[in-house]
Amino acid sequence: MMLILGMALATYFTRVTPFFFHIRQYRFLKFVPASVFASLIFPDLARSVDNLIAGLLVFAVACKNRDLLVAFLTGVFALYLLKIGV
Amino acid sequence: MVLKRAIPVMISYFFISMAFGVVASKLFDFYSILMSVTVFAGAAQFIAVRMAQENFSIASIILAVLLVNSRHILMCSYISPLHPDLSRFKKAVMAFGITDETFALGISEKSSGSAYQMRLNFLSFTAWVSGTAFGILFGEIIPENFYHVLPFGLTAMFISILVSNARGYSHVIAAIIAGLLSIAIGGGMAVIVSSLAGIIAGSVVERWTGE
Repeated sequence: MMLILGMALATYFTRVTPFFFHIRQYRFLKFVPASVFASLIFPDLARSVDNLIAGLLVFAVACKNRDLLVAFLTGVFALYLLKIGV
Repeated sequence: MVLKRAIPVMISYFFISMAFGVVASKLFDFYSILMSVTVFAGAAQFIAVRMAQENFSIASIILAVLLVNSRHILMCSYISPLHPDLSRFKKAVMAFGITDETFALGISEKSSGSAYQMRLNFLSFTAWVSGTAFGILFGEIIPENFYHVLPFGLTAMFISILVSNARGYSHVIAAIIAGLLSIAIGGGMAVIVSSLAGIIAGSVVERWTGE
């Protein structure tokens, strides 16, 4: 119970603090999405060759089509097919 | 409209938290659902299970959770100025529901208002909690392969958002620096450290090129 309470407080702290400090639209904040998403994406692609190929395929598709559902389905099916060895 | 946008995340959350429910219930029993309700952060919850299995102290687990989730500070700093007119209460509620994925969906819709973000958060939260419950009750029925492939759908979504978000050299440099550094560092601290490096790199390049 102590563990769960502590985890909940720690997590909420990281989320709520920025909402209650007056944050102006600093110029550097515009780099947050690109940096955060790249940091999440790259390690997942480096996990295996299958992941890298599937990721590049998603990248190619995403350049043509911005729909998130399309990207999602492309990623899942591409990786699934690669993993079962198509 | 919101539901249609949220569906991929909801499906993924449902099954990922189902996987969480399966492993967590062996340690925390029915408290696992309480964790999903109060914490609502995938990476942190999986790390907690892993560390609890290895008998780490409560304090060290909480510290790890704090570090892993410190990336929320960046995301919420980005989101909070987009919703200046919210009441204190609504800010507090919105903050609770910001995850990598709800952040991604929220900022990918250019004209999205606060209500849109709130609904996204709520739908994702519902999927997360109900998935955990299913995992605790009968998670073993899902083939393990499924759990491995599905999270990649979220990565694919992030790729799509990165493509539409990276405009100009400075953004591309920020992304490449952050991404490579994230691989190099590895572990729970990777995302926050490499993101900060990417933000600095992007700002420097912007100043040089006068973009």
